[in-house]
Amino acid sequence: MKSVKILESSPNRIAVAVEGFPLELVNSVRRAILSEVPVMAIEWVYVTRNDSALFNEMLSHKLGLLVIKSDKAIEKYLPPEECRADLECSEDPSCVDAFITKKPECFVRMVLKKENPTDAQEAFLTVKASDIESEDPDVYPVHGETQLTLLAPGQSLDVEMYARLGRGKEHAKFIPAVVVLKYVPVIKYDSKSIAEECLECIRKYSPELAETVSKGSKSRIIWYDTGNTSLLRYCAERVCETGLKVEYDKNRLILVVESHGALDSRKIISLAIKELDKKVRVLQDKIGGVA
Amino acid sequence: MSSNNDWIPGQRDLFTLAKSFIEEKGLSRQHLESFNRFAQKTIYEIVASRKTVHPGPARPYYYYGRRQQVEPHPLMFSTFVKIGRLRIGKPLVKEVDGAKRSVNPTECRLRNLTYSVPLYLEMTLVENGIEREPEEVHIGDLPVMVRSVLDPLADKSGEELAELGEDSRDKGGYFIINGNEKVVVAQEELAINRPLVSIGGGSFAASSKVTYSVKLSSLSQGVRSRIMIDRMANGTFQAVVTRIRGRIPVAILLKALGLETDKEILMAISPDPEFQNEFILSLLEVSMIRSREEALEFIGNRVASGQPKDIRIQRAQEILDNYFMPHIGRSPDERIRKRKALLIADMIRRIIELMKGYREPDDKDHYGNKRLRLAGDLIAEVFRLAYDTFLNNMAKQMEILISQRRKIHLAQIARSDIISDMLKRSLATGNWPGNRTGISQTLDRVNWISSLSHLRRVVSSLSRTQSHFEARDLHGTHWGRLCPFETPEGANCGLVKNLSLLSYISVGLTELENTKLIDRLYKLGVLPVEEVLEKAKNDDPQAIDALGKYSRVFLNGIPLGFHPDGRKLAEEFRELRRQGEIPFEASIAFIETGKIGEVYVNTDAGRLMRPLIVVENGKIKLTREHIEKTRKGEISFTDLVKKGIIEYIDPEEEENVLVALYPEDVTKEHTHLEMWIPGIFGVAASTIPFLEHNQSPRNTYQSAMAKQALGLYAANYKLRTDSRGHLFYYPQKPLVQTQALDLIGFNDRPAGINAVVAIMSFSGYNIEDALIFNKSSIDRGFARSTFFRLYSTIENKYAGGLEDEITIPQPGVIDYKQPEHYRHLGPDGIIAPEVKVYGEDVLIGKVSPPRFTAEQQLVTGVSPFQARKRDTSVVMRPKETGIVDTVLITQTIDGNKLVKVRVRDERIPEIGDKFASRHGQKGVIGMMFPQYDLPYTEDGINPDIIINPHAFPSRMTLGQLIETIAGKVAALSGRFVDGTPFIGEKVEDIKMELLSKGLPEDASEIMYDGRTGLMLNKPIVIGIVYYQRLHHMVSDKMHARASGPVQMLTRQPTEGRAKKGGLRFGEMERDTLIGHGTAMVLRDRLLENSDAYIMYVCRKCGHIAWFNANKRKFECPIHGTDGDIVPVKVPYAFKLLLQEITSLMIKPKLLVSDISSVVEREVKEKGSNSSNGKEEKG
Repeated sequence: MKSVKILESSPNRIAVAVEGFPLELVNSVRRAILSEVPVMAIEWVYVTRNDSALFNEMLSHKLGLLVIKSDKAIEKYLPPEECRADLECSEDPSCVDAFITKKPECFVRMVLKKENPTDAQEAFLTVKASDIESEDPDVYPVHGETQLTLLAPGQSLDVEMYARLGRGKEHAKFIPAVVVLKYVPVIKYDSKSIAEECLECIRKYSPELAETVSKGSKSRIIWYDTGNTSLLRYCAERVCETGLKVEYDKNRLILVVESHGALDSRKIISLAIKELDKKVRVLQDKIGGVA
Repeated sequence: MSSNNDWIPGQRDLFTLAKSFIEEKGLSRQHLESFNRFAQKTIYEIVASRKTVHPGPARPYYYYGRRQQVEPHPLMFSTFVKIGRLRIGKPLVKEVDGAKRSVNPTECRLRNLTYSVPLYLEMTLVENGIEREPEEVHIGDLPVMVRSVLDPLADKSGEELAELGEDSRDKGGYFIINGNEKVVVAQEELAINRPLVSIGGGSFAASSKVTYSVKLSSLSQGVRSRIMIDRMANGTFQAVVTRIRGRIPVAILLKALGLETDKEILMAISPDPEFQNEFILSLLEVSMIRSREEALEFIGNRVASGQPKDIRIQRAQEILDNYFMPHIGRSPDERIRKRKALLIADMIRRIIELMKGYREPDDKDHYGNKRLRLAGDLIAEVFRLAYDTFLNNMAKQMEILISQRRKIHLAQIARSDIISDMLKRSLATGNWPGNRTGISQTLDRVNWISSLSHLRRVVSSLSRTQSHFEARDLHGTHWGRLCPFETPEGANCGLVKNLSLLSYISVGLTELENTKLIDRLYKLGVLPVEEVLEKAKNDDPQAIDALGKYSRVFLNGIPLGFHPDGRKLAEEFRELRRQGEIPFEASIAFIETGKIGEVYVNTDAGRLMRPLIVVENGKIKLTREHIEKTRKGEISFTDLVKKGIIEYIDPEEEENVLVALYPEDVTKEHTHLEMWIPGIFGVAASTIPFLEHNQSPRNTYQSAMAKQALGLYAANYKLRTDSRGHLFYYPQKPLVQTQALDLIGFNDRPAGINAVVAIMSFSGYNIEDALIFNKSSIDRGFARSTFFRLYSTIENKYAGGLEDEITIPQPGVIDYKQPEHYRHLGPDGIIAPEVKVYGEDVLIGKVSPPRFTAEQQLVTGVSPFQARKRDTSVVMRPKETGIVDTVLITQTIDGNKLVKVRVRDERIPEIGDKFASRHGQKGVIGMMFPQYDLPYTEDGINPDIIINPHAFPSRMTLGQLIETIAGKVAALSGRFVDGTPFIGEKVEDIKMELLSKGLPEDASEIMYDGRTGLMLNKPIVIGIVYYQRLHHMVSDKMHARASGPVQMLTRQPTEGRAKKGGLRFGEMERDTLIGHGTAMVLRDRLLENSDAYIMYVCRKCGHIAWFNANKRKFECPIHGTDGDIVPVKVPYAFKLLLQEITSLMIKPKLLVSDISSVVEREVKEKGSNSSNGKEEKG
């Protein structure tokens, strides 16, 4: 009865239909994706010069939110637990400096230097994520067009920053994807007794479904839709009085992962499973130790 | 052409008009126009009201309450100063070195200067009859209203303003006094110069005999006078007049003003015998006074009793001419007297009409009976006073110089600081002559809306302590003039109001325009008062008709004459006004309340008018071309008014019109069409989408909260040094718009964020109006803001050559803090930008000379120069942190060094921070959950905010539910939804659009619990609602204390967070401990942890004793060291009480015994009373 079927797949989005697995297990995967999969993000920012209108803390925050290419980084750099200077230092800058130099295998250094010359023609120069120069060619901002700030003529920006691996449970900037885990609706209908307004409503949701439902006789469809089925349920419960019922089956689930771009969507799922596996193993080891 | 005839304007077209109305002058136009009138006209009139200044005390002096004639100094006539023309300069500031530099508002704000212009007055000195050369003398500085005619920045473009450090959209309307922005708030007053009739005489005991009453208060050129005519219970009419003592029969007043015969008087009241009969008794009462002279003498007895007869008559005449009904005229002119008489007669007529039931009592709350006094009028008031003081001072100086036979120099005797200081002080403190306070206030800069709303505020002069229920009610005449929602709750409810977007305050016609208007009215067939009265004396039938049947015409309360058909006159008048023959501000109202018509022509300042589209014979005068041209900017709003397409209607004239709400509704009966319905709301209420779907008080709540929302308060925030300010990080335009948001500029200076809001119960942390926030959204920067606080100090110089020094204080100075607090200071004693600072860190190091230097030198003999200096450094507020943002070092006007340090602090939303939607739904964050714990939709959307469904049923804010749907549609369709009240998009259409996007029309969606992955049983309403972050934040309020500072006087813990105060264990808390019988807890709270004190008491005399440290012995005031002195523990406040009682010459005597002795006594008493006491003890 257990089955896994890939409904959609592209580097950024994957939709998987899973059947026969407990909801709790698949939800663990969903939560692991959001909270446990490590990705790169900028963590420490040294502002040497910032003439822009944004305050240093505001600019740093924007830099932190940039999506950083992480597929190779997760192999190359130390895991988050060994790289968190904030656990040791909280707010002491010199301690952070020491930590960064002590743990070079944790951090990727990046530099953002930009200047709008005084005699510039344009009123503003837009600083983009692609202006950031990374010391590791495998680790760089994914979406180069992301706008960071504007520089007026004569203003310049000189920022040095350090990215590290982190997990979504620390900060939202380490969340690699949008994940949806949802039930698959099962539509039971009897074409003869379906009211016209019900069909009308269904048609707004999906013309094809309306077509199918209006033909034939009593039947049952397992309706795989990776999108939003709220309107279907709304029609069934609020508009259709007879002839159509929608039930949601928690044995049939769809997991949709839409990557922010740091990692491939498939890789995100497999990393999440790996992280879960690690946790289970820890548990096993502990219990094994007791026994 | 025929197609154009059928054209009716659509709501978009009407919006074009509203836009053009508001963009022409901005939302603070009332202040600007009023001040411009002052600066261009009134100030010159005030200056010209005095032609010469003669030496000597100009005011009459009083001896035993009597006014004394001043014997003129012989030189007074030959030596004096002639006053010429006034000239107003450009804004400038005089530096310490005497250099005059022109300034701009930004520099004034930064350097704590006053933005003002110098006033120069041409004066000619006449010495011993010889006229010298005219000189131009600086007589003082006039604060300039920003963007008024006196401000050179008024006609600068947006870019030029930005170049000068201004917010390019700031429309001004405020003053800059010592670097602070001050608004002169519009004052609502009862209209002057119009009689108001009422039943009964008020609540005074003396007025209990009054059955009906009519009051008139009159004001002109600073002269105020009131007249009250009462019909007494005995049927006579009595008057109470300012400056005339007691009640006098009205008939005497009439006689004194020239209506000598009874017939004349009766005719002036009415030719109708029904009316005349009512007044006969009053005539009989004064039948012994026959002539005008006798009447004057009667009045003279009241104003100058004890004086010779001719003086009495002269004084009475003087009062009647100059101080009685000054609005009609202030000169000894027979025509003016006749008019005054007619007005009195008319007032009597009104009382009789009221008595007979022909008219209702006047409605004091009708806005036609109200006037607004704006910055121009109020400044003029202060200036008039200041100018008089200045000239009187000059006269005094001249007298001194003459008596000392010294030469007079105009520049020396003109003390320019008198005018400058009086104006500046009034504006800085808000105290106005006449004990009025709060007239000028510091401009609210929390956000854009709060500033605009503050500039459009109207305050009623009625006192807050009395109830005045009717005055607080919304009145029909408020429609379109004052916002029906925007008013505070509580004590000021309904007394503090705000202007509607489309209201206009009249500036008033000039003297010349008024004269022309009077001529025009005569040409329209108005018969002059004097003529009619004169003819009536000779029984001219037309005159009698005029007095009895014609409509009475008043111009600004002055009786002008009579017209056979007031309605026709009003119609003709309006026709002329539409043709531009009569100024657009002139209003005419034909009111038929009593037996005869009354025509009120008003041209005075301060009437609240509103623009309406003219409809003639069922046809809207506005055409498509007008709209097109307005849209293209080819014609302005004023052009439309000049063409008679649009008319300003004041509340009184509005009684004569019928206004259609929508263009489709126009019928033959309608005279006007509403210009733009949402324009009836004020600035704050205009932020509310779907306002008409909300319960009314919710809109009032939002109107108050809109002013607390954080946003972009001014685009030049980096160049501003507000003492505190909040800047919202990523402010957004609301997805659900109202058309007014564009007009008021909210979309360019927004204050809020479009949040994904789910309405559901989740985890229980959103009960009681709490909100659940998405922690991940906050991580991503949701609703962040920055808080600015300014710290500043001045390096002052003191008398005796002592001065402050801004430097790093060295150990050894008094009040030296821990050395690490000074660690951030640079060599100049000032902190550097971008340094992170914490509570009590020093930002500016400063040492000052010791206090009381002179006294100290007397006592200790130490020269103040050698004495130890005090540390007066500027320190971060305790418990606040931040990053130094900007450091400004400059000079004050006195040449002292001024240092301002602005500290910024990033405020990330946390539990307890306050948020509100735009529908009066406020709440604090109750919990924050990360994204993976929160519910999600099938599209993977997590809510930013989860609000509890219980927020809706009882509050009935349907508007927010509709906004939820509309916001969702906006997001899905990638467009803004128009939620303008009454004329915005229809809810049905919005729902259909949502359906067409493949989602349920009620914005509900299937959601899953992020914690378990389970589908939630019911669909959840989730959509987008605009949320405001309000400036009440936990980090500003959180406070606790164990031990800490105490007050000096009572030694009880201090109060308030800023003083590290304790939390009050109050009276009711005390009650609970008493109720529980926990005496020791009570003692602990109220004594041990408060102001416990060991006091010594002498048991012999019961006085407070003390320990003499020199003798090392206890002493008491009676027995010295021989007393029986014991320590007792008492609250220090009790010791203080004893000493205070002692200071009243009362001796408090304390009886002290200890617990063991009390027990002993008890035992002894019991032992003697009961025989078997011993047994019991055993």
